[in-house]
Order: sequence, then structure tokens, then C-alpha cells
Amino acid sequence: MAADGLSKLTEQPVEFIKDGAAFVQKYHCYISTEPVLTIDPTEYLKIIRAVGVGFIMMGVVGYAIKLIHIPIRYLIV
Amino acid sequence: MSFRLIDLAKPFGSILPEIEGPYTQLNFDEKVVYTMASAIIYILAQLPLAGVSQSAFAASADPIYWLRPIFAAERGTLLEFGVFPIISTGLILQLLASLRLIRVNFTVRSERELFQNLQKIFALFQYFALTNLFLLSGYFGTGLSLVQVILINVQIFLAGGFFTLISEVIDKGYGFGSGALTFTAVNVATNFVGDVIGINSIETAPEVYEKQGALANLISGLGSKGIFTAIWESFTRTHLPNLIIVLICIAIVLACVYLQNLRYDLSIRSNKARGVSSQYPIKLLYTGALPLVFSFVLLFYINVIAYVTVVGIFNNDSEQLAVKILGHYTANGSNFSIDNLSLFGLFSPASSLIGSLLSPIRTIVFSLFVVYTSVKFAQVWSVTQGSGPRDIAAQFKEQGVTIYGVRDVSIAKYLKDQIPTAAVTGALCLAGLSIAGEFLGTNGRASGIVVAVGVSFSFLEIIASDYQQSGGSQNFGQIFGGF
Repeated sequence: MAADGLSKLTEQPVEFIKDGAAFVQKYHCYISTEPVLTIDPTEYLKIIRAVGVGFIMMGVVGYAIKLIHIPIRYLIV
Repeated sequence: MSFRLIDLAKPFGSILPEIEGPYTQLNFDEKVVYTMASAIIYILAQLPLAGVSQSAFAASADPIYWLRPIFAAERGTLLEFGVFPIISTGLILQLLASLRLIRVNFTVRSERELFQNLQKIFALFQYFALTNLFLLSGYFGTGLSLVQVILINVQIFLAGGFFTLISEVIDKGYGFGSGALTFTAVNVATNFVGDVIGINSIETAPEVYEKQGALANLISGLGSKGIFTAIWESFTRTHLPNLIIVLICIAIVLACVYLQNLRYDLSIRSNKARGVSSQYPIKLLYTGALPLVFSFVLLFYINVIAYVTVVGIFNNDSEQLAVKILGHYTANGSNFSIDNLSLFGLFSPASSLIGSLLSPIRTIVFSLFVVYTSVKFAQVWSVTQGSGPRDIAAQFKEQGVTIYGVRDVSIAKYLKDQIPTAAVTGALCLAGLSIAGEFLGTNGRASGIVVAVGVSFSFLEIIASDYQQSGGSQNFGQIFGGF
């Protein structure tokens, strides 16, 4: 019983990795014109910049608000 | 007629406040304003709890410090538990509904409303329960008077209820995406900026003040301590964020954006017009960062149970057998963690790289737990929620579109093969990224950043599509369009 459970436990990840690998390979059967897992380097840089700028903008505004808290804390506590 | 869980919400229907959805589609600028205003209110509301003496707080330590970033919870403030109750009820109830453990007929308006009210009640109940469990365990100090207890309860409960409603405002179409996750993203970004350039000083030892930000600390140290000591300390300090953690966080942002960008393009063609073909992208992170959030919801519950049993019931007495088995909390600065090999200790990451290397069993069990729960969640969620394989297949059929090399009849089956696999592989990658971060000792920052980048990325997608539709005619659209 225990061994059964254990083998199930080890089987699942192996099966899972197989599935993942098959997912990447399978496409070559269906479409042979271009690589399937795509990422465009220029687009990537553009998105990195957009996400980075957005992230830092959010953070700076948030941090500025948090700085206001310091005097408020002194007043309250 | 059998009992149904959503009927629990019936008597509360008339007293629960509800947000009315917008009558017309809001334009882009209005949405930006609503989202930003909600986020700013969230940050502003991080006021210290009244009724708790600061010395009592300084004496007790924080058992959930590494779970805080992902749920935007700030210790000792009105948002002591952040948006955890909102996120956890949302995820768990929807998961139960989609597994048909709760029977809800989403096509009927009244049932949808009941389900929504049930979510609200559960969220509020969790705020109440968490506050009182922590009160009983002595988290807010011992020997509190009745007035103090009531005051703490009222504050956390009201703040929680208020933000349940605010996040509903965003969810219902006044803002972008999910409300609670927006708060997480903004809070993570705020803390990240604070960790890098934070110029506020924190007392690390009696009469010793250090800057919160790693970079700010380095610069102020250069003047006062000499170059080499300053650089060495800015990379190695343990009680506050150091430059290594900042670099790890930046690396995680880059990796996360990379993963977000990965997609499988299905070549599709139209049945009606010959020779017209295009790509239908299936994102690798089909379920976004939700699987990781779900894993952390489970970890949060486990750690609250651990804290309440070990500290609340057994008084954290290391002599007792139960504490030896379950785990003994040790204070490390203001962090409270189980560092010996024990049952509950397995469900938290070590607080540093050395710690992770010294306790391999803990690292492995923790990693397996996160990976397993993430992957299972992604598998279920991708099939049952929103645009599942069947919906996409129906959409294809309606538009007269087929996938190259797949017969019309088997499109649904084909997508059913592909989408969960993409979702599961994506969830595995994200879980791996977050575990790697925790392994290096970022204390929850890594997971917070993974979720925050996921949310920022979905903002970006919405902004990009809105920008295309409105042609950049709107004010904020023009600003964002510049990037």
C-alpha cells in the first residue's frame, strides 16, 4: 500500500516532465514553418522597459506616501 | 431540498453593502484614476494600530513575516493581514464552485449575488478570526484590557471591510484587473523602492540607526565608515535588506518578464477566406501568477495554525513533547520562525542561503509543497475558469477558424490537451522562480515580486489594447503610450 503510494508520487513528476517536453516537441509535427516557443528580443526589451518603468513609478509614488507616514506616526503614538 | 452553502449568505443580503457596477463602459482615463486612487488609499491606510503599546509590539515577534509581501500585509498597521482574507476566499470559493463542491448556478442573477455575498462574509469572517487568534496567542502583547481587545478588533475588521469594498470597486470594472492583486503589486513596488533607496532610518540595535534602503545605506556608509567597510556591510547586513537581495529581486523581475512573454503560437486559418492565416497565442503563464498565490494561501493557513498551536496553546515551551514535534519558535530580530527540524518547520523557507543549505529536508519539502500545489491548481483552474479550452473551441467554430493540421471536430480535444499543459508548465516555472528566490533568503520578497510583475504585466496588456482602441486620444493613454 505504502509502496504503491510512493510509486504514484514518483510517477507523477516524471510523467509531468514528459508531458511538458512533449508539449514543446509536438508542435513540430503540426507546424513546421517556424519555431514554436517564440519570443521576440526587441519586443522583450521594450516590455522590460515598460514593466520596469511602471514598477518603479508605482514604487516611488507609494514610497513617497509612506514617507508622509513617519511624521504621522510621531503625532499618533 | 438539500442544504447549499450559498444559502448561508441569504440572511445577510440586505445588510451587506454592495458596489454597483458602472452603467456604461468607463473610458481609459477614468479607469486609471480609479485604480491609482484605490492604490494610494491602500498605502495611506497603513497607519499604526491604536490601542497596542509599541513596547508590547517590539517584544513580540512576527511569525508570518515571509508571507507578508505577497498579501500586502504590513505588521502593526490597520492592514495587519493585508488582503489575505479577500484573496483566499476568492480563490478557494471559486475553486470549490468550479469543482462543484459548492453548487452555484452562475447563469441565474440571484445566485451570482448570493455567491458574491458569501465571498464577502467569508472574507470578513477571516479578518475577525485571524485577529482574535493572534490576540489569543499574544501577538499583540499579553494582558490586554477589554477595551484594547475591542479596539484592535474594530480597527482591523473595519479596515478589512473597507478594502473588501474598494477591491470590489476595481473588480467590477471601474479599474484594471483584480483589486486585491493590484494592492499587492503596488505594495511590493513600494517596498522594493524602499529597500533600494529608502532614506528613512530604522533602529537596528539600541541607539544604532541604519537606513532602510540598501543603496541609501551604502552611500551614507561611504561618508562615515570608510569605503571598504561600507561596501562590505551593504552587501552582508542581515537585519535589513542588503544589495545582494536587491540584485536577486532585479534578476527575478527580468526572469519573470521573460516567462510572461513566452507563448505558443497556434497557426490558425479561416475556413471562409482562402489563404488567410494568422497566429493564436497561448501564453505559457496561462493562469498568470494565481497558482503561486494559491500555494501561499495554503502556506499562510498552515503557518497560522502552527503559530496558534505552538505559541497559543503550548506557550512555545521547548520542554514539551508537542512543541518538540511541532516546532519551536525562535525570535530572530523581529522575525519569529521555526528553525529546528519539526513538522511545522517544514512549511516555511529558511531565512538565509546558509539556513537553506543547512536544513536540506526543510528546503526540499517546502519546494515540493509549493510546486505540487501550484501545478495542481493550474491544472484545475485552466480547465474550469474563464476562457477554458471548450470556450475557445466554441469561439473558433463561431468565427469559422481552424487550427492547421487539426480536424474541425477535434479542436476542443486538441485545445484540452494543450492549454492545461501550458498552464501547468507555466505554473511550474513560476513556482521554481519563487522557490529559488526564497532559497536565497529573500524572505518572501521573491514571491511578492513574481506576483507583482504578473499583475504589472496584465496592466500592460490592458493598457496596450486600450491604447490601440482609443488611438492614444486620452491623456493617460498618451503618457503610457510613450513607453
